[in-house]
Amino acid sequence: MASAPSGGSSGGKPRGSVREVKQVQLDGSVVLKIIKHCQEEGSGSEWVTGCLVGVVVDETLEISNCFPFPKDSTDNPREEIEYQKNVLKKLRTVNVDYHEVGWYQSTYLGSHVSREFLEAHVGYQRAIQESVVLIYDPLQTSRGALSLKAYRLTPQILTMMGASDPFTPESVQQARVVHSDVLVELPVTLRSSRLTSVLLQELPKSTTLPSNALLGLSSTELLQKNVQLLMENVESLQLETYRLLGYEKNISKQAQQKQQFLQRRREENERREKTGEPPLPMTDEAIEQESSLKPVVPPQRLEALLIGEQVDLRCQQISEIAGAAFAKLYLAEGLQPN
Amino acid sequence: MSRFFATGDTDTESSSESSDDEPKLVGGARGTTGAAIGSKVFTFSDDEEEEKRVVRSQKDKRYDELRSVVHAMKNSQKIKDIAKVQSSFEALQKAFQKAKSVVEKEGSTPVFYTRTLTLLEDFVLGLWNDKDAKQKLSKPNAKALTTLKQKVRKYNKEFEAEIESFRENPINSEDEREGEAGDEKDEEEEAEEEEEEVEVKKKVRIADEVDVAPAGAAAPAADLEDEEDDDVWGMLDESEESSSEDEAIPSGKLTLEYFLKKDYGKAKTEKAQSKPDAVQKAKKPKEKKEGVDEGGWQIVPKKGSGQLTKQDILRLLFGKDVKDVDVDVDMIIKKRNELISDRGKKTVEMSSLQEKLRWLMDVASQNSLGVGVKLRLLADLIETTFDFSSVAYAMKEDAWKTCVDELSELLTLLEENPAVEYSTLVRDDEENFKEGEGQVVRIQGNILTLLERADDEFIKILQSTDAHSTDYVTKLQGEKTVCSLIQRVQAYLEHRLLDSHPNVLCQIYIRRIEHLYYKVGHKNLVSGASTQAAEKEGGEGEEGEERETLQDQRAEEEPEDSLKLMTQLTKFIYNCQSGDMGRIRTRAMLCQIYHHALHDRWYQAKDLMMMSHLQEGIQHADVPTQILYNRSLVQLGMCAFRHGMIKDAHDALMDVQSSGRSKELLAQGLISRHERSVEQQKVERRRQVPFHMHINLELMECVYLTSAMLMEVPYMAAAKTEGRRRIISKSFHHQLRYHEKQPLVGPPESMREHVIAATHAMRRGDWKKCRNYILEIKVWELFIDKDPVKEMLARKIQEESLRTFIFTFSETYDTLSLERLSEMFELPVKEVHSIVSRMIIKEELLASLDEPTRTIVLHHAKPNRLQCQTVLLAEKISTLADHNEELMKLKHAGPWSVQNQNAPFSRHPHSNWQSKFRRGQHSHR
Repeated sequence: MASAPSGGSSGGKPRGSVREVKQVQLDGSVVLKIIKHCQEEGSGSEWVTGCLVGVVVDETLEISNCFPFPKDSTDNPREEIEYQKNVLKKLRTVNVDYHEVGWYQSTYLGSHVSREFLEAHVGYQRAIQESVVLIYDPLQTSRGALSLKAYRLTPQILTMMGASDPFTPESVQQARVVHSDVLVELPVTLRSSRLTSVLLQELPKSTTLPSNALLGLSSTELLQKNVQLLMENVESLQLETYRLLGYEKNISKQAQQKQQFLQRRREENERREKTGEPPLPMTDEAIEQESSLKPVVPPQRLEALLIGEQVDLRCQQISEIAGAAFAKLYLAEGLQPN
Repeated sequence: MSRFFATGDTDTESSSESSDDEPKLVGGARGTTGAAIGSKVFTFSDDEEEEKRVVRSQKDKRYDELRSVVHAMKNSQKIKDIAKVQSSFEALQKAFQKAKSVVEKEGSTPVFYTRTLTLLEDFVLGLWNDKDAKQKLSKPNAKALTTLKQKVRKYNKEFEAEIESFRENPINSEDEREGEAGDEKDEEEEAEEEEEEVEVKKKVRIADEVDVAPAGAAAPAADLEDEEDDDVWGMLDESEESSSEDEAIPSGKLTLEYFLKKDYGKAKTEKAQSKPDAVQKAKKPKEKKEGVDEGGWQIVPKKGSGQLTKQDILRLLFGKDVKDVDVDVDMIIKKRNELISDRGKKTVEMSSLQEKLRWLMDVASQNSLGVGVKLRLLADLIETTFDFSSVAYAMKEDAWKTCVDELSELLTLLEENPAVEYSTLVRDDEENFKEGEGQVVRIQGNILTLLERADDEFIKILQSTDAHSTDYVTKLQGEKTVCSLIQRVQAYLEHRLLDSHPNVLCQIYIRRIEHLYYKVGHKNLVSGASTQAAEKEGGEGEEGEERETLQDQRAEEEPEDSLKLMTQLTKFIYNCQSGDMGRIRTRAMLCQIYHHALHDRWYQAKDLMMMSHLQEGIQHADVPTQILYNRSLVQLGMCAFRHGMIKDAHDALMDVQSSGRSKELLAQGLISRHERSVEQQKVERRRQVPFHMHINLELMECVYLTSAMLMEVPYMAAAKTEGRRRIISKSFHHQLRYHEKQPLVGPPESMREHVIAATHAMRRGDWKKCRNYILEIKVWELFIDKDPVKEMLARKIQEESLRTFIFTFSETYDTLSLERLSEMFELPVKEVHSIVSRMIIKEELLASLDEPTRTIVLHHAKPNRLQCQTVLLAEKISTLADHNEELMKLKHAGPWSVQNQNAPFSRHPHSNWQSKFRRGQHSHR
């Protein structure tokens, strides 16, 4: 992908070659830190967020460190920024990577795609072109499958967010944006230092795996929750569709009214021509003024896009869970003595 | 003032009582006319000479001017020179205009001026009304009279208040005059003069009145000459007086009063008694409240009205020289036409008009002038009564009663004289009042309209009465009268019209029906007599009593079967082909449905409702009809309930009940809302159904909630595993939720609490408690035949509890014994078997019956939650797909195709029935 001339990248740091990040490499310690942060601070559906620090090497974003954002500091955003700056400054003084490359967020069953999320990341990606967002799902992880996903916004969305009338049905249609164009998932790789690898090699000798969580056959509950959430999403999507439908109907109705008005105006003008009076104006503005037709307020399509993306993600998740469950079931079947 | 009293005393040497009354009177007069005059009196008598002069130069100059004009006018009045009167009237106006600044300073119009205006008006009107005198007038005079009359009326409007107060309290003039007198004369002189004047003025006053009185008919023949003498004398005297002193304006009323009083008190001549204007005055209730002196004016007619002889009446009506024997039909009719032409005029008072009509009637009957005249006059009397009743307010009950009596008399006359033609077809000029010689009495009028008005007025009377008072019950007795009247009119019309005017007959029939449909028939009463007795003992409030009185009436007046009657009447209306019958037909049908439903003829009622297709067009009907529709619907629902058709009952009542506006929809009470204007509220008030026709709202709600409970509880139990379920009855759920929110749940008290408590019991499977709660509800007593209803209820509760039990616990059991179930719910095994079978057939219960062991084998194949959810999700997605498709169509096919195609999301199979019962929304906006 060519380097995107993403709008408003003024704040970008003068790094050598600005290249599109294609993959994300995570340091093991970052993963552990995130998990720790989430376990200690986050509970249930409460989200935790933090800052990612790293460096871009070619097309790979190497994330080498992270630190949490303080909780409940949303009242004063300046304080948060101050805190962030201070931490980064301190990191510099101890001579580790201090370049901010994105942020992370925990999620509850992957229901993180929202307007706030989008806006937050738009800010990041405008300031720091290569920045990514890491989504960590504690619930999945606790069931034995580490779930860490890295996302970036597509350039289309970025341009659209900057446009004057974002996400009207027309502009969305023109930009040919569909829900899958909102987020790009980047492959994540985990990297451990040699020393860590050695340690891990040594570990199985002394300890056993704590549980058989990986082989648990019951995935009903997770599925149930997912389906429940999916249902809610579908409902809101339905609402959006309904809104669009109403809008379209209004538009066509108004077009009809406008036609009628024009027709009348034309007749009137013909009559006026005969009597020698000056004709009435036929321009759009005049019509709008006189016919008291108010322009229909177009519905925002961003929500629909986001919900679509959310549904998509959820479906992926469900099929993952179901796939795993199937595999396990076949395994169990094979193990059963006939 | 006291000095004036002294003179007063000397004047009226004879009557001590009047002098006793004196102080009060003057006090009263001063009180009413304001301090201006009174204080002036004092000022004049006490103040310095110089000051008086100043005042005089400013004020009295103008006033003198006025007085002189007044005087001139008075003189021309005497000689009936109308043209001169007119010119002096104009001069008077001009002079007054000049004096206006002075008048404004004084703060009130000078009393003599008001008096003049009043007298002038009386004079003109008197002359105008007296035809004989009018004819005698010369042509220019007659012409002048017409213009003068108009001018005076117009001009006097400005002084309406003053004239009114003057008429009420003529003594003012005396004060004024007295003040004026004090101005110039010594006290002694004045006293003497007073005496003299009094003499004079009495004459003048009488003379005036003779002039003023229509036709001068007031005075009896015997006194007539006297009067004339007086007249002449008065004129003479007056001219003398006026020549001697200009300011002394004749007609001092106070002094006149003394004389009059003396006259009446002692001699009791009939002179003033018979003065029509005096009689008229007596009718003004205001005057009765006036001072004692007014009594002098009043006592007369009071005494007189009882004593009015035939002769007097005749004179009053026709003028002086009419002899009893002379009275004939033409005269009466002529006078009647004269009176009737005044109908609707603001100046004419209803009571006086009616009284005159009554006199006419008396005269007519005394002279036996035939049915025609009497009929005509009676009809006029009734019509005028209705003329004066307003739309918004009810008539007085007494007035209504008299009116109905008259109507009944009219009917009797019509019944007795079948030859008389009384209909709208007779034109004004075709009326004939004489009988015999092949002539038929023909009178214009419409008995049906009169009856309808009387009926409407009756309803208004009831509407304006507090429904919970004994007064209401008393007034309700009028219903009997109305019913019998309607019956009689119906019989009369049937007899008269035969089949020539079916629409007229339809109108009377619908009246009859509307008085019939809400009443419980006699036969049902007999069967429910035991219940009635119980109700009586229970002493259960007005509602019960209300019904009883009604039913008692019914028992008396409706021995025949009301069903038969109803069928007969409605059939006629349905068969009536003439146009413009839509409303009557609709109403008849609704009444019949109501009647059927009330008498537990469920199938007839339902069939009629369904076949009539009323529900389709009821939105376009007028509001009263919509109300009737709602009433019928509710009654139908209650009937369904009594028959155990729980679902039908629920569906029928749902629309009225669930809106929360049942009061408004049935027009059984006003809901105060701010968005209504006063006008709207008035209109709404007029629409209210009288209390005795009310459907008991609590009973209705109870029926509705109970039906909802019987349907909803098993359904809730069955649907508990599914994610989200449909709600059958919103208001029931509302009650349920409200109850669950309560922090502390005590034993049930109200009807709603009972139903809710029963619901909880049923959900637990405790059907006995449930039954007890439901049967404890008091409103069931209002059902006429309540025992079968209660039995039905108990049975339904058992059944539904059984179903609820099976639904709730089916997961826990593998097998259920039918015997055990029948024991638990005290139902016969057969019944349990049929209920379970029905559930299995409807796929509500996944089970099978094992006949040999008589058990239910339950199949545990209930979908788990995930499966349920998936199904739901699939549903949602399909809806989403539908929406999307619609969107596509819109994009591709343009707007036209979408508008014609409204996707019917038929939610459940009952919607059809419900839409059929869709209530006519009556909105007042």
